[in-house]
Amino acid sequence: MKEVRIHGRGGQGSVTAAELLAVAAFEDGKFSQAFPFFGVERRGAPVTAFARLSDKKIRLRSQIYEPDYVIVQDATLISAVDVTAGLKPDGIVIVNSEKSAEDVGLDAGIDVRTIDATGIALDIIGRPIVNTTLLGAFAGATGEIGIDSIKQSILARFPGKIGEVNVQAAEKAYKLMTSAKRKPSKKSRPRKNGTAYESHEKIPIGAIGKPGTSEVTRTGDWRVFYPEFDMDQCSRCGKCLESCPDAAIHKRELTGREATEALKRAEELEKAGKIKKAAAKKAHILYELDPMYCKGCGICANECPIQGIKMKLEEK
Amino acid sequence: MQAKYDEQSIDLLASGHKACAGCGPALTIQAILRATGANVFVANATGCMEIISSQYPQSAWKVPWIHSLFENTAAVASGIEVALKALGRSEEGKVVVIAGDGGTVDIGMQAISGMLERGHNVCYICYDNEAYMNTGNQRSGSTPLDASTTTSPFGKRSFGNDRPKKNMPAIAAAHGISYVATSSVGYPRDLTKKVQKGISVSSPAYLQIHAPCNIGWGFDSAKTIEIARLAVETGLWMMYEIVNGELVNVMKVRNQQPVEEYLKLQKRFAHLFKMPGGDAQIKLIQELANNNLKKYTVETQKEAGEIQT
Amino acid sequence: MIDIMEGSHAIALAVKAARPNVVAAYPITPQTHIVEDISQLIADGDLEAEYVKVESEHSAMSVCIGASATGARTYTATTSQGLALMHEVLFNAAGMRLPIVMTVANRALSAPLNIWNDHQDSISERDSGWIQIYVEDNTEASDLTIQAYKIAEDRRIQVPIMVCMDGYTLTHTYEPVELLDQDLVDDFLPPYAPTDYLSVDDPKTFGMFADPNYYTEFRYQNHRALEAAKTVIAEVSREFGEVFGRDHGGLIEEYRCDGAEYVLIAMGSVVGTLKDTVDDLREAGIRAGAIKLRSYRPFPVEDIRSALADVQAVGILDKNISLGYEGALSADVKSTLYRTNNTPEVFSFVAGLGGRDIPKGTFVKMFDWMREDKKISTSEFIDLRTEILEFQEV
Repeated sequence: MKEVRIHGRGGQGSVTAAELLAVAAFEDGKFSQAFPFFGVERRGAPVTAFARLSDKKIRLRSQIYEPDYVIVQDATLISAVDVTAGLKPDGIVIVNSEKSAEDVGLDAGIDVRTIDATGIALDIIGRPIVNTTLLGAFAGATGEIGIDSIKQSILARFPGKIGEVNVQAAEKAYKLMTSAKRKPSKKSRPRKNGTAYESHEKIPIGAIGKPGTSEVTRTGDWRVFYPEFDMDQCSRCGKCLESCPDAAIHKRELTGREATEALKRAEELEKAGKIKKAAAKKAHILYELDPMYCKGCGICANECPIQGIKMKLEEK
Repeated sequence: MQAKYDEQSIDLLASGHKACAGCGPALTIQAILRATGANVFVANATGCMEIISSQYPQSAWKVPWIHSLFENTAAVASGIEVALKALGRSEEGKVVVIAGDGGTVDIGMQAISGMLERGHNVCYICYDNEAYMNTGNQRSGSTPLDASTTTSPFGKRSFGNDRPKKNMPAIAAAHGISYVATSSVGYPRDLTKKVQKGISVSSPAYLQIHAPCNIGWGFDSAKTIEIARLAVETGLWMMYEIVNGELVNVMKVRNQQPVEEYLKLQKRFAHLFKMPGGDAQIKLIQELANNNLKKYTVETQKEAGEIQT
Repeated sequence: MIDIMEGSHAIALAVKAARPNVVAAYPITPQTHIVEDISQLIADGDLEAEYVKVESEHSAMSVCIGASATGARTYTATTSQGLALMHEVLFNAAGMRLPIVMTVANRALSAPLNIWNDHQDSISERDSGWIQIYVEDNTEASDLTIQAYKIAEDRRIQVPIMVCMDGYTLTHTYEPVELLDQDLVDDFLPPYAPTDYLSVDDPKTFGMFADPNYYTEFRYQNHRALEAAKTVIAEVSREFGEVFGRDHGGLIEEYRCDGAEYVLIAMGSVVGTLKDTVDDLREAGIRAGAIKLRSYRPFPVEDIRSALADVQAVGILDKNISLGYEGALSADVKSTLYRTNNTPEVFSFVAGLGGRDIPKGTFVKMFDWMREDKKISTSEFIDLRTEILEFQEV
């Protein structure tokens, strides 16, 4: 039996990936099983899905603690989640990243294969949906499942044009991966019992919480795009702040010498024709993005009356 | 000298909550709390906003907050209100309910009716994202006509949801309460103003805020506010107040947009543009919008009189 | 001081003495007299409390949750269908560890509709995390109402509590009741002062959800609190005895169990009839005894083991039935006896359902069967009218 653990973020299709993997293995004549860690996560939050492939009927119902393979759909997860926990000694980790295997931040002893699935998906599918691309990579890297079965399972789930482009993306990743060399890893990773417990604080009587403690969650890790503010054109209307569901835009008003200096600098720039008058007059007011929490939804950019906010692809 | 944060930037729903990117309801709550300030007690029904904000041990709330069950929030709020009264703490803050449309127009209806009828000093705010989104987009009594949801899917014999939205504001108003209002996350300043009015009365108030869900409705996360505005500009979501039983301050729709402009941006209505007979359904929806604009008219736009409490 | 009054009125007076801040209730037979009398006390200005006339029992408990979480002392009462309608709210109140006190005027559950007494309603809520104490008479019901607040609000446990009194048999019966002196009550029961409550000065988050990393621990803590309640119930009962000069026992009351060979366990008002029967049998030379089980949850495992250490046979009267199995109390007592040194013969009786009266003769029959070591089923319905039964044999 081979066990696969998929790490992704809500909305990236991790659960679908596990299901497609199981369907593809079934197409290959194997017994298979796919299931999520049943959570309440919304788009962007870390999620885990599991798949088992076997020649015999699978009875095991527990989560997967010692995977043969790990698929990481989003390289930003590596800093947040112990993605290689329990990985078998000869296990393989497939990471969606444009970086090389050495640079994704995993231990040197692990057999890491990277693939720029986001790039491939944006190129072929037109959207940063990487799950099918990574399935192609999985087939190429592990040889556990035939690429034809992967294609079949994708087409069965997504008929028509959408299925076809997903298949193309998977095929591209497959080809890139089959050429990659296998590096046997040396040691097994320490096993963790389920999810790593975030906190060991004593629990109160009844589930009573402290105000604003959600701020430890870096929801900024979820984003694919981030807003870039053009403060030289900004009229300081504050609509961006009002349109942020995540309280990730803050208004800051400089006072005293700082304000005077900012206004003076802005006046000079305005005279030189470099910034707008409205912006110069309120140069002491700043609208600042809190990158720790911005999920990159893009509402602020959509609502900015002067189109002064541009959504840029996050470099990961 | 140290820079200071603007008061409007004080976020009583803290960052780090787990709502989807571009969440309309989360945006609604940010606006509600800017209007109420910190002196507020929030009773929150089970639903998306509860789940994304209160996973132990992390809370996004910086105001006193309680979640009990799905359908009992109006009763829990009643309990907070009478307790404050009994303990001589009424001045401490206003009691506000935040609940989704399922928790309001469906399962929560009985408790709401009781709370309104008994006259509790509670401002009930429903964020209306038009389906059970917490559980993955199942149809509620507030789902609009022809929206495809997971329990009202389109198919060979279905155009999606076969009933128009339940008129909950009218039901609330029928209780004889002094303030009922609708608003939309597409108009944050209108929303804030109405929340302030709703909490200023010392008797029950009911607000329903249209709050698009980009996942359930199927649109790009950047367009939450744009879609909300289109609902108003097409006449599919009406913005008004019912003060002391009288319809007032209906937001005028000057250049009514065809409903297609709203429908075509959303996956939940995409089938109407592809299915045979879909065009006739779109006409029906257009009629609903036109009827809305006819129904919600007031002779003269005037500021509402003093709200009786 | 002692005065004669209806049981419901005694409860209303006890509630008044406990000085709740918020009362929320929905009328239902046979609880109505309690809430009517409380309404009158408030209308007359004798009780300073907010009374919320809710539109359902579901909302009654929900109002109590909101009020209790805000720091108020709360009270409600219900029975039967009303208690069943509260079901999910009961679990919620217990899990939030809110010390709500509720009188349950025990009544049968529909269908068929029946307004008379048995214990099916509260027994069906035994896993809700509420303390359940069953009382024998109206003085005990009244006294326990005061004790209930002291138990529930004890910071070591913080658990809601049901005072279970038999519908009609107690609620609608006139009998002399020992009155509660307000000054003594005020000394015994200080105002509710929780450590955690909803406040804008210290804005806490109540009722969070817990994922698999935490849920088990919250449940375990809650379970330990219920177990610890055994000590608290006994302590409070003793303390009440010291202050008021009367005591109703701890988790169980043993009646003439010394040297008893045959002991019958029962709950609620029927225990009085049982005690009289035991006296009769003792006079006739039969070594009979009785156990009044006061605390059904937490279940007094140790007390029952020790009380039954030397008996030959134990009978259990259940005024409820877990359909398809047996009476709930019977199942609990049997599991309590597992792996004890002395395992007496166990006789499980189901009787008194839906108001069917239990006269002394019925108890005599139970003792007779125990003495004869009669082979009976694990859910033997006593006084069953077999002649009117018709069912398909399979």
